[in-house]
Amino acid sequence: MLSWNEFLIDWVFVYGPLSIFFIGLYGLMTQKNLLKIVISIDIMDLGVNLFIVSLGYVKNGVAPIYTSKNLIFIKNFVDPLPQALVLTAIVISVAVSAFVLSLTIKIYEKYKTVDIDKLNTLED
Amino acid sequence: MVKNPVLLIALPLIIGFFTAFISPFIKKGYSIIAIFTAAITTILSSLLFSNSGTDLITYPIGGWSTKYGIYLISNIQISGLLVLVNFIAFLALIYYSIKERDLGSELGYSLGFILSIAAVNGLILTGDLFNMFVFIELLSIGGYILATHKGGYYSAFKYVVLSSIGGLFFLIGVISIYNVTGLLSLLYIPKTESFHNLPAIFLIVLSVIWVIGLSGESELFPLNMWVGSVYKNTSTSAVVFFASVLSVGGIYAIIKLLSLIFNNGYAAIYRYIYALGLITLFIGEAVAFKQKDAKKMLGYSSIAQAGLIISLVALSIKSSLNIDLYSSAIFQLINNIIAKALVLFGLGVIGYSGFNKLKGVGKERREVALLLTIGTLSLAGMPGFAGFWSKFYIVKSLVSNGEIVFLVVFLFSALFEVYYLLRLSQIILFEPQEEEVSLEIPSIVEYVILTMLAAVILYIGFYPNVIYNLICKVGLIGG
Repeated sequence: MLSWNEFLIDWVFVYGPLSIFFIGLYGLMTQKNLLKIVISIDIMDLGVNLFIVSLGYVKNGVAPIYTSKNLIFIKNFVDPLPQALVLTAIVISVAVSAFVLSLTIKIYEKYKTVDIDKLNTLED
Repeated sequence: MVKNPVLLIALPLIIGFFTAFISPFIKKGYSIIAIFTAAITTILSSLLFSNSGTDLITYPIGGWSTKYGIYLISNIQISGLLVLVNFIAFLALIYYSIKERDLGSELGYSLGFILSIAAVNGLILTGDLFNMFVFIELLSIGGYILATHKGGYYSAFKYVVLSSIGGLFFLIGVISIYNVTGLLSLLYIPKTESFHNLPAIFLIVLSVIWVIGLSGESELFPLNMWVGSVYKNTSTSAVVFFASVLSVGGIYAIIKLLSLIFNNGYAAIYRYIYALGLITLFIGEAVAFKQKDAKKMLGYSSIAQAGLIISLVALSIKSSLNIDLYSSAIFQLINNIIAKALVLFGLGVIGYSGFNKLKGVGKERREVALLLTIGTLSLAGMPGFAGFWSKFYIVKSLVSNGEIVFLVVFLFSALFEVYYLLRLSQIILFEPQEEEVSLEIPSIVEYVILTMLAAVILYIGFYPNVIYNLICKVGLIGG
């Protein structure tokens, strides 16, 4: 029988985000609509970001604030680096999502469709 | 004297940031700001080059130790590559300013070019994985903007999708290595005990994830399916950026990962990457062979060259840091980006890239056609041109290392390459004109750009050892 902690670390923190990533990948490979493709990429982003945050998890962890006035060293500091990495990744993915959505609008204005099959024929 | 290369990244970013702020007050002239930025970065990289030696120097940022903090790395090879990349970016921006400024928003595309310069400099210089990820994403965002320059929105969409997948794979790789070693520094990760204790399968998966993650930017198989369509549907200045500036960042990032992190005799890794490179080389050349659009053809040729270079680097590390193989790869990279820039500029000056329209245009634009032919002959590896020497050194190093399979694939794909490149020259110079085409009279500046690149190719063709010996002297970064 899995303990709650093992269940949390293995299933929620590792397989959960990876499942979200693969759901996004599945959407990316099967969808024909450009908007659905954009949503699939965002789902993949979400999966990777959750995976990274979960790697920095420490049980009963505290915020890693260590200044000249707060010199107490606590053993179970949460690793701040994965969180910083995720923040950067979120900002980048927001920028890319905004850009790719505006691209979709431009594609629709030019070709009057957002269907990949039709776009492939129109481009040739 | 400026010795710290951080300005090569910070200056374009600062200039780009303030350019956006002055946009309500100034309506035109942003391309001049972009040219100015590329000129400064070219000068700064030249200063760095003149101060560089063969040893790898680290430049910590913010006073943190290089083990935990952000830092840049440079030696004469890295700084030389930076000079070349920034100089080609400078030429592309001059071309953009005189010919393609009105294709889209001058502010938007100038910022796209400036962002790309910062990103490529960062990617070549950075010494840690976190920054490498950020610069990959910046490079991609710059590339997305440039891909839309001539209204090729659907091709830009393909690029965004493939590149985003690559970025995510790279990020998974970064966090995985951080999770086991606790470090992100390229120089320190291989020195940790936890890294040495990692199972071989983990390292193989990690290296493949990273190479796949970077395959979008470096134009390697499998995330390179955007290349042909983006090359065809974007402007000349943007396509020169893709072929000779952005792809160099991607390729060099892979070279850094392979040579700095996995340089300790992990033969299994190199078998996979070597195979991936050879597949890219062969498929790239075969697809290029079938094209009827010169820009698309050169796109697939770039894919093939990226495959060749990565295979050579992988092989050089596999066979115990073989300097000959590695140096010939870097020499090929340099020759390829100069010649490709020349041919792409030449096609831009002519104004057409479809074979049916290019037929016989050389009779009307003889000088441009001849300068362009210097580029195609160098790419094809004809004697007397720069490309001949890099191919010669590749063959020599492959023979001396007994790599017969690689040699056969290389020679076979070189046959394809010679055929389609000579066919391009033959179409332009000798075939009778079929369609009525209206050709613009090239300006002096366009001739100067073409002549400068052709002169560099001929110079390297006559004095290959000046550059080759320099590359050999440095050898593998961190090797």
